[in-house]
Parts: sequence; C-alpha cells; structure tokens
Amino acid sequence: MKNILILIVALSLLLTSGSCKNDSFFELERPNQYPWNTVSELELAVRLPYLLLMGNAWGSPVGALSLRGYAESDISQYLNGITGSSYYNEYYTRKWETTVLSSSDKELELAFSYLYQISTATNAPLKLITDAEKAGTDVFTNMTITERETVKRYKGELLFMRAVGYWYLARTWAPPYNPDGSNDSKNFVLNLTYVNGASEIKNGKLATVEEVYTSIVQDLKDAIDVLPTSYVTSELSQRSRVNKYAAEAMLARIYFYMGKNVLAKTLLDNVINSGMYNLNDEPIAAFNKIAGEGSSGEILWEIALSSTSTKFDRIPTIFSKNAYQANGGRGTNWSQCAWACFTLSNSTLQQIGWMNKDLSVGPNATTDKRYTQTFIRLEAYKANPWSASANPTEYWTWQNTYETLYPIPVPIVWLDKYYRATTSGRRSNRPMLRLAEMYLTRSIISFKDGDKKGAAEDLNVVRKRAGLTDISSADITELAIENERIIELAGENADRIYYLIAMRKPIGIGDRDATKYSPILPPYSNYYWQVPEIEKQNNSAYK
Amino acid sequence: MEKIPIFYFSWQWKSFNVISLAMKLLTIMIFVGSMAVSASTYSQRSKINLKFENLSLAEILNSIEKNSEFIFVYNANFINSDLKRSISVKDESIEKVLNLLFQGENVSYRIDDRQVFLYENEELKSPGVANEGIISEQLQKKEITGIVKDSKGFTLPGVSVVLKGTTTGIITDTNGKFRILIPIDAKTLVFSFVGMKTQEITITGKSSYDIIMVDEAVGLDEVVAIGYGTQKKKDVIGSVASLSYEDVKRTAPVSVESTLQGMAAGVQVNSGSGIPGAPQQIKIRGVGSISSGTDPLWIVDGIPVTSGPIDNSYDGETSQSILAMINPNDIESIQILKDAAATSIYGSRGSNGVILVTTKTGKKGQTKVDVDIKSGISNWAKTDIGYANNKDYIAIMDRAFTNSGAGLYSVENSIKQLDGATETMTREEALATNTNWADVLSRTGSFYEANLAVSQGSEKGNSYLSLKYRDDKSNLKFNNMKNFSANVNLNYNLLKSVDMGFHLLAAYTDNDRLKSGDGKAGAGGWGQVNSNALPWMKVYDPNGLNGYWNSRAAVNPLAGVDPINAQSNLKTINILSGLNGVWHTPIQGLSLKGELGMNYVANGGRSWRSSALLINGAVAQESKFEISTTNYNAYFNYDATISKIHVLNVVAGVENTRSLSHNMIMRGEALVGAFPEVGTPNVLSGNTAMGESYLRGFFSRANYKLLDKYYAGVSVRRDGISKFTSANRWATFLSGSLGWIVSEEKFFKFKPISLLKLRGSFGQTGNTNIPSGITSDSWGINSGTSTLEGKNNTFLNSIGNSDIKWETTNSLDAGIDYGLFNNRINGSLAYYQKKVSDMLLAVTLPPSAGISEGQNYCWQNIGDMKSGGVEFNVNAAIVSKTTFTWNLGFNISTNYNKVLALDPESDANHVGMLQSGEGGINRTITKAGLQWGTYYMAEYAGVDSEKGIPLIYEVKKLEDGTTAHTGKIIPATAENMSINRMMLQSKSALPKLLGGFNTNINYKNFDFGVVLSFVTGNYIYNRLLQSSMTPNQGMLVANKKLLTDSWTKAGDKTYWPQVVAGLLYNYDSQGNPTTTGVSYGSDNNTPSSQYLEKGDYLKLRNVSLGYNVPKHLLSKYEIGNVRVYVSASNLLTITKFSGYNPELEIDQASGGSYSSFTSMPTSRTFMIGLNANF
Repeated sequence: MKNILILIVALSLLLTSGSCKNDSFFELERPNQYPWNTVSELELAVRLPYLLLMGNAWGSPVGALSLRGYAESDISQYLNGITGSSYYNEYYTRKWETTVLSSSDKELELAFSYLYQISTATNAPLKLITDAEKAGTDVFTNMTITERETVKRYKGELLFMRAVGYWYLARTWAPPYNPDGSNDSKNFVLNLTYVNGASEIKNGKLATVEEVYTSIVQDLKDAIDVLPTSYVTSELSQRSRVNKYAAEAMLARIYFYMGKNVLAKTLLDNVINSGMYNLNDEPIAAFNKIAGEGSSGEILWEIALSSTSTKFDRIPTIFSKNAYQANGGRGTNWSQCAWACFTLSNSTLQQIGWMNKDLSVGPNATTDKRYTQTFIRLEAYKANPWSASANPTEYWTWQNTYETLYPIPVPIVWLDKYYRATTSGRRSNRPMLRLAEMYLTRSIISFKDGDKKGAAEDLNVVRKRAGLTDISSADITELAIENERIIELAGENADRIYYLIAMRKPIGIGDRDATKYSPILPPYSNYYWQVPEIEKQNNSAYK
Repeated sequence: MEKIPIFYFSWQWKSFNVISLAMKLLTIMIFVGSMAVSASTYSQRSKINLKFENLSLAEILNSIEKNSEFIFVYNANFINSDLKRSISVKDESIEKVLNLLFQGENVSYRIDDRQVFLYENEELKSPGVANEGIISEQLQKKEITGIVKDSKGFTLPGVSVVLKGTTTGIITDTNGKFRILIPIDAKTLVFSFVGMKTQEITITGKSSYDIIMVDEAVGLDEVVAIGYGTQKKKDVIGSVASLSYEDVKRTAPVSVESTLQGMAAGVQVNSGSGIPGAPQQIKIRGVGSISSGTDPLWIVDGIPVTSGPIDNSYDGETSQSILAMINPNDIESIQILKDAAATSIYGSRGSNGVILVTTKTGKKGQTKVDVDIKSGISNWAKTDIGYANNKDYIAIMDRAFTNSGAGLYSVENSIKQLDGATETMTREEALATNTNWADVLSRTGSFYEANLAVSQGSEKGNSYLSLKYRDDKSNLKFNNMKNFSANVNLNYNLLKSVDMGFHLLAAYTDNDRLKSGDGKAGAGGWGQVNSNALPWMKVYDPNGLNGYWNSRAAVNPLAGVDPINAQSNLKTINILSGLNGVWHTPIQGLSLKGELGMNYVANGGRSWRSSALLINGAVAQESKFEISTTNYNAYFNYDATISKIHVLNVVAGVENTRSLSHNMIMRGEALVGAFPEVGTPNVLSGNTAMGESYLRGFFSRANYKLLDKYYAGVSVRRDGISKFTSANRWATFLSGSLGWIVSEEKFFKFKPISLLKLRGSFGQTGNTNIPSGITSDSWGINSGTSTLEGKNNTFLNSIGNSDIKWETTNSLDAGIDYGLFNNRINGSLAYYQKKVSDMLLAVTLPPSAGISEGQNYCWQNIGDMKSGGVEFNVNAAIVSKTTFTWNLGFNISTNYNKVLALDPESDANHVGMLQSGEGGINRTITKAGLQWGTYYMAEYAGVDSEKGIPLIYEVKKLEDGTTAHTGKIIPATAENMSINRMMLQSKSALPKLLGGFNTNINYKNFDFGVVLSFVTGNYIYNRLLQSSMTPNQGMLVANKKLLTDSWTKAGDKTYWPQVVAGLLYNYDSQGNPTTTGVSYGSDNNTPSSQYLEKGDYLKLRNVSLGYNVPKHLLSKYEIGNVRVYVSASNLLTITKFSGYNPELEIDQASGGSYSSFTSMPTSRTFMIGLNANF
C-alpha cells in the first residue's frame, strides 16, 4: 500500500509539474499583427499597390492589358511565322469566348491575380484608416498635424489604386460599360473590405458591371477629395505617386469610357488648366528615362523602377521592336526578342498615311517625330544576313542589330517606345497618364459637342509637339483626331480598344481575313475574357 | 531474474523487505575511493567506508558490490548469508572489512584484484578456482583453463563459466582467464555474458580452451529501443524495423540517412545526388498527408532533433543535410517505428513514423580504441543522357530552321540573345568546337576520412569518445566539403540508486558549394549544362573576362562556378547535447527518468558573384540561420512481475519542447571593391525573421505480458502545441495493441517453426509538420531589388485560420513475426492501413483572395486520405559455422494511396488541387478518388505519319470529374494539350513496390557483403527530356534523337515528330493546314506524357570485401583486430529511366517527381579502408 502511495504521489508531482502554467508556456514571443504602427510604416502599405500594378516579368497587369488590347485591336497585325506562344495568337484571333486560358498561359492569369492583390493591399490599410475615422480617433497615437495630412493623402492614393485595379479587371474580364444598358452582367468578385478567413473568400459574391463602375467612380471621387495637388515624396520619380490631377485624369478617362463626356471634360479642364504639365518635351522623352532622371513634362503618373529592380514588365517585348535586354535604346544596343510578333497593321498605316498601298513610306511619315522616335520601320528581308554572300544593303539598313528569327518579306512598322532608357532599358519608366491623352480626349469630346475650335486647339497641341503643322477648325475631322490618337497612344493601356468603345464605334478587323472576322459592335456585350479557371474552381461564387 | 545458487554477482531487491531495508539503509554510507591509475591493484587502492547495523552478510556483500567494483564469489552452502552483522569502518582496506565481517566464522578469503573468493578456512584455493571440495569431495577432479574473448579479440572479464547441469562455476578474471576444477566425467561448460550469445563447449581431451563470445545481435532477447524505453525484441508487438551497427557499417555510409536504403521494409530513401552533405528524402510507409510534412521524426538518444535540409541557398546550391552531420560510425542501432502501437507514444509527431538512433556507449571491460581510416575516389555513374555534340546540334537546328522556312541556324543569333554576351563565334568556329560541358564541369572525386573512438566501461559507468574528420572533393569541380565531428557519451552510477548520462554530439561542416541554375542572370554550374550551355560554345577565351568565353552571358557553366568568379560557402554547426538521469526508486521496479536535450543548428552562408558574371556589377549575399530546440521530459518506468506469469511495464511522463529559429539575409549589389563580401555595396538589402514553436505532451504506455506469450499494450498521449489557438490546442492520441506467440502454446508442436507471433494494433497519431503562425494573417516586408524604386513595402503574406486543429491519422496494423529452424530464418509480414482525417490541408484560394501566387492558400481541416500496404522481410543465417557464416536479408513492401475527400468546393467542382511543381508548372492533380499527385497532362499518341506532327488523345470529362478518351486522336497543339489533359490514373511518383536485398558472407578471415535496393511502380516527369527534345530557337541543349529518331518525310513511323523551330507546325488544332505557325507547346509549360517515364530501378548500392588480419600476427602488438576492406557504392543501377538518376525526390507540394535542369548524376564511389581495434 505504501508503495502504491509513493507511486501515486510521485506520478502526481510529475504530471502536475508538467502541467503548470500551461497558458504561458504556449505564449508566443512574436505573435502576428498588423505591420504598421506609425505613419512612416503605413507608407510601406501605400507603396505596394503601385508595385503590384507592374506585377512581375510576365504577369504585369499593365503589360498584359496593353498587349491584349493592342493585339485584339484593328491597328496591329500578327506576323506570319513568328515564334509566339499560343495565347498571343489567341488575342489576335479574338478567342475570348472559346478559349480557356490554361495555367500554362500565365499572362492574363497572373495579371488577374495581381489586380486582386491590389484590392487586398488597399483594403487592409483602408480599413485601418476608416475604422479610426469611424471611431473619431487618429490612426496612430501621438500624430502630428502633418502626419494627419499624410494619412489623408495615403487614403487618397489607396482609393486611387483600388479604383485602378478594378478598372483593369473590368476592362478584360467584364463586358464594357454600356451607357444605354442595364450593366447587370456579373463577372467577377468585388472586394471592398478586408476579408477574413477562407470561407468568406471561397464563397464570394459576383458584382454587376454597374456595381463595379460605381465603385471605381466613387473611389476616384473620394481620392480627388483628399489628394493634394502636389507633394514631395522620397521616391526618385515624384510622378510615380499620384496627386489630385492624376486622380482627375483617371476619372476623366473612365467617364469618357462610360459615355459621360461632360463630366470627363470638366475634369480634363482641371488637369490641363492646372499648368503643372506641358508637352514641351520630345515625344520620346516620356519613355527614355529611369527613376532619378526626371520626367517628361507631360507625365501625370508613371510607374518608375529603380536601376536595380528585377520587377520590370517584359510583356511589351512581344509587341514592340525593342527587347527588354536593350541597354541604350537603339543602335548598337538594340535588341529584339524572337517572340516579338505584333506590328502596326497595314490598314492602319495606310489610314494614318505612314505607308502607301505599295508598302512604300507614306506621305505623313517622315515629318512626324513619332515616326522616327517612337516607331521604327524595317525593310523587307532579302537574304540571310549572316551568310557569306549576303549583301548588307539588301536587308535592314542599320548595322549590328538583331534579326528576327523569321525573315519578314515585307516592310513593317514596329512600335518602339519601350525599353528606351539609355541607362537601363528594361527599367524605363512606364507612362500611365500622359497629358497628350488628355488633350486628345478633350479634343474628341469637344468635336462631338460641335466645338471644332476647341477640338482643333487641343489636337494641335499634340501635333505641334510631334513637329506637324496645325489642322484648322475648318478642316478638323473625327478621323484626324482618331489618327492622331492612334499615333500618339498606340500600344499604351489598350488605348485603341478603349477609344473605340468610348466612342461606341465598331472595333474593326484590321488586316484580318474579312471572310473569317467581323468587327466587334456596340454594345460589345460578349467582348470580355473568362476569368481564369483557377478562380472559378475555387470560388463558389461562380456556381 | 533467477538467483544462481552458487554465484552471486548481484542481489535482488525482491529478496528484501523493501521498507525495512529502506529504514536500515538510512544508516549506511559507503564510499569507495577510486584512486588514480597506478601499478597497484584495485584492492590495494580502494578504501571503504561502512556504517550499518544489524544487516545480513548477504546484504552487506551486495551493498559493497553495488558501490564498488568488488565481486564476491562464494558457495551459499557454507556461507551463512543470513548472519546479522553491525560494522562501522572508515577508509579501511577490503581485508580489514572482511576480517570484521567474518570474525568468528569459519571463512577465509582470497582477493584477486576485484574478485573476492570466500571459502572455508581449511581449504587452500587458488585464484579463479571454484570450491571443488564442496562441490564433490568424493569425485576425482580435472582442471580446465582458458581465456574468453569477444569477436574483436578483446579479453572478457566477468564471463560466467558454469558446468552444465550443475551450480558449479566461476567467472573469468580481469584478463578474461579462467581455471576451473570439475569432475573428470563432466561433458559441457556453459559460457554466458550479458549481451552475448550463450555458448556451450563440449569438453574433450583438451585441458585448455579459447572461447570467442559473439554479440547477441538478432536474438529475440535482444533489447531494442522504443519510445521512452526499451523492450526485448521478442516482446515488441508493434511494427519496428531494427538496424544494428553491423548493418550500418556494412555499407560504410556517408550519412545516417543512407544507412536505411534497402535495409528496412516500408522505408523509401531517395539518395539524390552524390554531392557531399546533400539531403536525402525518407518516407516511411508512403505519404500520410497532403499539405503537412511527411518526413519522419528523428530521435537521437532520446532527443528530438532538427532534421531536413538547412538551406539559405543563394542560387541553386545543394542544401546541407543536418542529419548527414551525424557520424554513422557512432551509431549503435537504429529503430524505425512504423505503426501506431510504436509511434503513438509520440502522439502529434508520430504519423510519419519515428526513427530512433542510439549512439554507442562504452562497454564494461578494458579501454578500447577503435581506428577507422578510409579513402576513396568517385566518378559520376552516368553523364551521357543523349545530348547532341556540336555538329549534331547544328545539324538539328539547321533542320529545325529549314523545316520552319527560316534558313540555317545562326550561332551568332543565339549568342545575341544572351544578356551580356561579349564574345561571338562564327558558324565555322562552332562546327570546329565540341565541348562536353558535363565533362568540363566534372572531375574525379576523392575523399578521405579518419575516425577515432575510445571507450571504456566499468561497474560504475562507461564512457565513449569519438572523433571524425572527413574531406570530400565531389565530382563537381570546386565543390569541396570538410566535416569534423565529435561524440561524447558518458554514463555513470553517480549515487547508489542514481544513474546519470551525458551525451554531446558536435559536428561542423565547411562546405564550398556550387551554385546551379539555368537561364540568365549570372547562373551557372550544373544547371547550365542541362540548359543553355551549348556544345559548340567555347570554354575559354584569352580575351574574355578571367580567360573565360562569354562569362557575362551566364551560359558558361565553368565560368559561373570558378572561385575566381563565384564563391558560395556554407559553414554549419550542429550541437546535440543531452543530460539524463535515472533514479531507481526504493519501490522495486520503479524508476524515474529525466532527459534534458538541446539541439542547436546554425549556419553562416556567404555567396559572391563577380562583375565578370554580371552586367550590373558584382553581388554578394551573406546569411545566418539558427534553430535551437530544447526538449525536456520526465517519466516513470515501472516494471513488475507478479506470480511469475504477469509482466507489466508502465511508462508515464511529460515532455516539453521549445523551438526557436532566427534567420538573417543581407544582400549587396553593385559591390564596391574587389573583395568577395557584401562590404559597402551601392544597394544593400536584407531582412531577419524569427520563428517559435512550443509543444507539451503528457504520455503514458502500459504493456502487459501473460505467460510469456500473450501481450497487450495501450498508450495515450495528450499534446498541445503553440501552432494552434488555445481552443484547439490540445488533442489526445490513443493506441492499443495485442500479441500472441502461438509457438509458445503446448498445442503448437510443429518444430521447424520456432517462433510464430501474431500481432495487431490500432491507434492514432498526429502531425506537427505544419508552419507556425497559420492561425492568423501574416504580413511580410519586401525589400531591395524586387520593389518599386528599390524601396520597401509591406504585403499580406498569408491568410490565417483560427479554427484549425490537429489532423489525426488512424492506423491499423496486423502482422506476423516468425522464426524457423531455431530462428535461423526469421522475419515478419505485416499489413497496414492508415487513414488521415480532418487533414490539415493548404486549400487553394481563388486568386480573388488577393494573396501572392505562392501563398494563395489557407489551412483548413478538410479532407481525408487513406493509404496502406503490405511489408515482408526475411533474414536467414544460411550457414552458421565458426569459420563460415552466410546471412541473407530481404525486404519488400507495397504501398497504395487514395484521396477520399478534399475541400467541398473542389470536390463539388470535381477539380481537385492543382499544385505547381518544378519550374512553377502544374503536372499533377490531387483529387478525391485518385492517388495523391496523380500525373495530369496531355496523353501522347505518337506522330501523324503523314504530317509529322505530334498527336494526343482527345479527352472528355466524366461526371465525377475524371477523364477518359473520346476515341479521337488530335494534334498536340498547345491549345489541345491545354484542354485535353488526362488524369493518368495509377501513375504517380509514389512507388508501388520497394525493397532491398543484402547478404553478408564471412569465410575464415574474409568477409563479403552486398546490398541492393529496388523501387518500382513510380513515374518521373523528365523535364530534361522535354527541354532537350524541344528545339526552340537554338538556345537550349538538344537531344541527338532529334537527328536520328524523328520524323522526316511522309510515311515515316517514328516516336518523335518532325523537328521544327519553336514547336510551330503549320497545322491547327483540328489538323488543318495553316499559313501561320501554330504552337505545339514549349520546352516547359505544356506537359505531355511523352516525357513521363517509369522510375523503376534496381541498384547495386554497395559491395564490400574485407580481410581480417590473423590475430596471431597482431597479438604481440596488442592489437585486437585489424580489418582491411574495399567497398564500392552505387556500382550499378538497372533502370529504363533515360535521365541521370531515377532516385529523385518526391515534391511534397505537387506530389510529382521531376528531372530538372539541376538534376545530377549519382556518384559511384570506390573506397579502401582500414579498421583496427586496440
């Protein structure tokens, strides 16, 4: 009996000693928490959405939208025999209805993911800020007046970026906004709060096109309310962070797209009349700088990367002459990827007067600075340049450049505005909002309103910078404005598609076979890509 | 334990009244002073302190024995052991103590060092002679003498020598010698010693005998380690595989992990490359979870240790295995616990199996010195996997370009596509330059290793010390590793009833690693051999940077790893320290044990790449990582035998584990200065991170044995872990087991079967191999080059789930242990089934969750999976003679696996989980109803003999989400391949069958051993084959089959399609001709069963031949044993796999197994060694 007692006592002591202070035993020294405790730390949250818009090499939302829009439009042609991957072809052949992008075709899928990462990256700090506002307190303790203003600006930047994120989503994965329709198509999830837990995420709710655009417009309005007209940041490029005018320009862009031209014009007036921006610099000036080298006077907002960043968008490599490897722009440093496969379409070249029907150089080309600065014409391939018998004068006229893998037997005109910085081509700043676009948009709005004088004035600001003569208000036409816009904005933010939809005009077939293709007509109800399969498979919202 | 009437080596507690003894012992204090080493004998050096009252002689003698090294030898028939005595002495000699004890008694004594012989006064005895006068005064006697040694030639003191059938006996003296007087007609002497096989020697006409005692290696009485204790092998009713030191040393392994390959049923070891220190993947009974880790728990001398790779890889360097730092020469035994009966005592950490490593300790007897020196050379087992040479390559690309209408291939164009290319070549130069890059980067490897172990033991304790130094030069140029380790094991009886032990293992590696990467950005090394290093490229160029051709273009593998251009050093230290104590409580059979263990692993990495490799200037990275795990436990062990038929063992205790980690990385770019260090760079970035995890468990186990043939066991463990919130922190894991030794039954009369044991168990285990911090959202900080303008930002790293709790694995195990012909043939057969429920699954989130791609999941307790299989092993002593022994071992096991359910969304959509594998590409599916990681890709259907295009089977989706052929064969366009992916049921990376074979032959002084292992039923996705069979734009290495085995003209019936550039054929997805090239995939992102290969192999893992130098040549040098041996590893692998090596890891994320750019051949090693004992 005594033995048993000793045993029981000893065991009890043992187990009790092990079980005491259970709670404190498991207490973590470093539990998870919000990473922001000061205003300067909140800066780290505000910076992220800008980066996410650039995404990564082959998944950049900016690059993906630009490629898709350019490739689907009427102003591009797909080069026969180019070694592009399948989905480039799918854009050109407009397979958005039938093609399910596989996980191997990462471009749009990655862009989709990055855009939602922008949503999350903005929702979390916005929740922190708005919760404090609701509670009537500061976001952090012991804030100074200056810091309160900074947080206000942060809120504006975050709202701006959330709007941009959903604007990009809406442009690819939802039918275009229909000013005359119900806009009740439900295509993707709209997350405006910081979601918690897998269940909430996996059982999302699809938003209508109307809801999405309402949200975008509201976010931008709210951003305009709180963003200052100018401020100084620690960024190397001051214009890599948005101000009130950038928000107004973005909202103007969206209003124009939504057919709300009056609202758009008011905002464009604000931007243009602010006096902060100009078209004094050469057309290439917006494209040939990296952060720290200043910005062209026309830049309202640009994505700027450091000289060592690895997060640069490579996608324009697919639709422009210059490859991301380029260092120094043209000449001996020129480079081209073998998978570059979209040039300007012949029909467009003829429309803008840059190429004649016999493929010779057109009448409007040589006088236009953009023809030589942001585009490049290559002559027809004649012989293997590397063979001993090849005569260098028979093929492209520049020396020491890279020849495409496939010889192209006809002259072509490439976009050549990307990767043009001499310091580090791949890290060239990417313009997101340029004053030229504002002038061109106000020009067409004025023209549609019957204000030909205003339309001509705005158009001529852009033409003048390009070295072209003015067009009088008597001679101005919608086509003239449209042609100017093609030349000025080709390849940027899918502008051609954007413009045609805003104008409720057919999206033409360009050089495509007329027996197989038809223009995409307003209201473009079926013109949108299916969200990636991985989203459908893992979100019961799509059941 | 039965008392031997005539010899009392020790007394038993049970012979005393415990309580009264405890009271009496209160007055006893014994101290035996152990003097410094001198020429005097033990008896002369020892002084005794005694103080007791009214204690029996037997008790007194026993106490002296327990607290000194004296052993009393006497005949109970004439010593009145019950005689009560009181005595009090201080610093007295043994003689004085004996005089006092036997004062007035008719007893004399003779002292021979530690042995004290007691006998009646009038008899004259010699040392080591039994009391023959008492045994039989009437019989005529004869004298037998001899010496007893162990198998290594060391003399064995204390061996019992008994005349069979009598109580007459003696023990050997300190020199292992004995002399015994026995009746003239006596026939047999029995020699016995703990831990060794009992021997019976027939007495012939000889008067002198030399006896060699052999270790009890595989006997049923062998004691094996189990969780928190030991058990006789015969009594184990769980599935436990055991490896002895003999098994371990047979293959002269470089790491503890590789000792297991092919040696234990149900244990898969993927030994990977021959790079020193490279980790090896071990899976016990397949995989038991999807998202949680499936590596086993490693326990070294009772201490859970950090296992797995320790990385901080900068650019594809091989990771350093922590386990590889343990010296295999120090291993005494390894036990692999497989079923719940064996593992559930480890509760939450047991579901992947537990591997117990016991290191060597000193043995009682003389000081032993063991020296082992070996050295060897190595070469790659296979480097030719069909890559084309320069002329073939250019011919292939010419054909490709011509077929695509692009003229001839241009080497200049290929060079121009490389960033940073500074040198070019002409086609003519290319045709004249043939570089075998595998050879350029390779060399004959070599190593040498020296081991020294010193051990000694006595009644009071033992010690073991070993030192090891190894210097490896691998088959990759510039890849060198030095390894130094020391192991100390001390065990002492500090107090009368307290044993203490201390264990220290310290290992250090200095590893000059090589980076290995494909593509651009300064990569190089082996990865480039398989990707961008083309056979027509030059190695050197006098005008190039540092004399290399195009080093900045990043494709020159040698330029990329030459220390003049790149360095990557990793120094790792692994310290395992343990302190344990056992208190043998006054309660008979009850002891309390405490263990305190600390495992500290730390490394420092330093990588540097010069501006000769990088366009934007030199870069460097320095990193530090440390993880410290403290484990402390205390538990009772209670053994009781009731009425001789009931045997009970109970263990109960508590264990705490605290693990802390710290990680630091600092990176500098555009370095200023020529030194290979971060220094003062233009761009500096880095971060640190800390981790923590706490585990507490209460455990208990009871094993019951009835009549030595009926067994029952239960165990319970309640674990809590900091990885879960307090609401879900704790869980209980139970198991029960039963066993029955049928062969012990009277009705069992079939003599050839010496053992037939039926056993079965059912129990639960858990899995803690999940990340910390998954219950809440976590945020990360980006810094450095990946960010906007090089500035920092914060990001949501992962979404937490506060509701998660333990996953539970229910395991059923039923088996037979058998022995035939007196156990000369023995083994086991077992069936097991495991079902994991409430699986901790990293459920894929939709991209709309807004988490970065790699973290786009959330942990949930969702899903069920089951697995099972059969294991069989047999060991046979084919020949067992003194000069010739031949042993065989064979094991084989099967494994199946089936996912029963995943998360509701993916189950409802029948989509499963699509995890990315190698290169970020998805090639597998994990889906309810299928095997984990079922390969999922377009199914190749050969070549259209008219068009030369590749074809695939058209696929339709069935209602349950699985796929089936429609019966149509369609072009393998990228579009079709993407839409028509087939779930290739029954094809996965998990082998269906694996096992091994080993044999060991000893003939006279020679020994010969062979170990083979095999795996079958698994599949490998050969990404290297896909890459080399895809002529893109002449930028990747090509396979010569493109030239010899591909379609060239209509009517050709080939396996490989027409060679075209960029996989662009002028046929669309319906097979209609097109004017525009249509993509038929790429070298990577369009998986096809064309590149899925069987991973079956049979490997001759090791062949060894040893020669033991005859002892008579050694005896005069006082050398016990010298063995000279040669050994060859990885001599031969029979496989149809076309890559370097079929032993590839299973990717835990996707379930696939991939041959990638960084895959390497294994090394074939030849060594010669010398082992000597003193």
